[in-house]
Amino acid sequence: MIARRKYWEQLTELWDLSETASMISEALLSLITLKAFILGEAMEDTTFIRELLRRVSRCHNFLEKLIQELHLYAQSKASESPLVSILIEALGTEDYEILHSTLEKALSSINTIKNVSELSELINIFTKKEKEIEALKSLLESLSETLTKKTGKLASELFTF
Amino acid sequence: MEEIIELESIYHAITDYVNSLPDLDTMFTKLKHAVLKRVESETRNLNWISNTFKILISNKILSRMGKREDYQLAHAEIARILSHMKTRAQGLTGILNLMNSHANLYSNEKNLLALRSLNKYIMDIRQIEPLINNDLFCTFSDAYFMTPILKNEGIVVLSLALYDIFKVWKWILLLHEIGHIIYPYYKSKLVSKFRNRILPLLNETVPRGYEQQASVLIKLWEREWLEEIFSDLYATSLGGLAYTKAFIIEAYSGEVSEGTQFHPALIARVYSQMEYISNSSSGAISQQLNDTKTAWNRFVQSLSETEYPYPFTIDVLDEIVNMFTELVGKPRYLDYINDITTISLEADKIERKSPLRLIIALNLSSSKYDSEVNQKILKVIAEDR
Repeated sequence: MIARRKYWEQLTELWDLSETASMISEALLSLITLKAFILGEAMEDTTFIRELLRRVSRCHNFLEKLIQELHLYAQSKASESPLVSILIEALGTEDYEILHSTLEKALSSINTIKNVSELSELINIFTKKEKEIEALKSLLESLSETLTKKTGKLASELFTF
Repeated sequence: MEEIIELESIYHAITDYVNSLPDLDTMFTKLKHAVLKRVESETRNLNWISNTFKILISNKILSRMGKREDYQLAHAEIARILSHMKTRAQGLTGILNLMNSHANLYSNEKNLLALRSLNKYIMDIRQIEPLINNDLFCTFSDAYFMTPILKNEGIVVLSLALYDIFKVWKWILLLHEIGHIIYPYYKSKLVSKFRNRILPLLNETVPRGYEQQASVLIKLWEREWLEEIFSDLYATSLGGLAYTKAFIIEAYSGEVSEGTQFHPALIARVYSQMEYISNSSSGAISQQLNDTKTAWNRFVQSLSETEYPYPFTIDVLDEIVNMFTELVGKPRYLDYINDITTISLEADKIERKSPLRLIIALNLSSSKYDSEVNQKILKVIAEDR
């Protein structure tokens, strides 16, 4: 009976993790697609473009929360949270300065993308701030890989075929 | 992509199955709607993925992308998103299993009586606890648990163990699961107190040579264990010693002093409940409290309070009880304990009282193992308007 309780506890954990993983992967996919559309000057389908923007912006709160938790952990005011563990694993370092600046830069890029009033502004952002966009892409890629590994491991324990 | 077709067929199968189920009761119907709502939202997402995929593989966009690695990365992300969606679809089939077993319970009059009583019991708890703002679907299956995976769809799923379907006194254990539902309301304040008051204590008292294990255990406190102790104390607040007694019977195993990934050590859980009750004890149950303490100490006789192992030392546990009391207040059962101690539980004369009061009274009486009394109480609860 205890095993069945554990099943539901693990399932709940897996569900939450898979939702976070989906959000990050969707943001990354949207960012890549957005880049292709903007650099390829294919901005006609504004509904589709706006949807891509929305999906990139969705990870703003996640990254903000990650910065807060990292800050508390660095000051020994909190234990290492699950999100901080994922970040450390994703970036392969425990160096606070590196982790913090990577998150800050990513957050700043998302804020820039999020706050565009005209879609035409996106062309400027993606050409003039290419480095920042690439840094955001790289962080999302690392997070997505780590989260997928974690969900895959948990899922294989629960849904073994 | 075949994965997209596979997911579409899973969503169709789930929808067809849910639609084939009868509307057995209000909460069952609401659960059906919640599952369908979730499937609809996953299907919308799948359509978006499918559409994005089609756009990406079209020659026009591919050539515009310039970088082949971006295309490969996009392809990999689509595969990842689909695997996450598949995981959630598999999770939903767990809910379908529960719905299936719930429907099977309807085939028997005796089971129906238990389900009606359970419904009244949930309504009673909802009246006491205004913080519950989701619908609650509760059934009997192979374990006690709570899962909020459909919370965004407005419903939380709860289960009691099927082996306790007619042992109404064991239903007090449901209060722990309600504690998990309430926890998010207190989480940030409790975690903040934990970080200020307990984390330094845990960091300062790491036994020599134990540093590596300690860092893992400290993480578990904030990630899982704090919520478990909160849920126990919440259940104790509503159910008092009745909860603790049933909890010991349900949870006792040979191993009492080691925590697991999801649960703190049993001694930590029992100690904190007893401490919470003792701090604001009512004269009405003082003898029972002493008896339970004595019985529990007999179980763990090799362990005096000064020997509680790190990270479950008495200082830590006392502080957690203090934090809980500051946030949630003194036990709520004190408001009704005097009424409970006067309830008559003779098989031929069961008083009509609220379900929670009857269940607490039964736990505190010697009749709890009497199946006839349990059955009569089920009937009284089910028939009470």
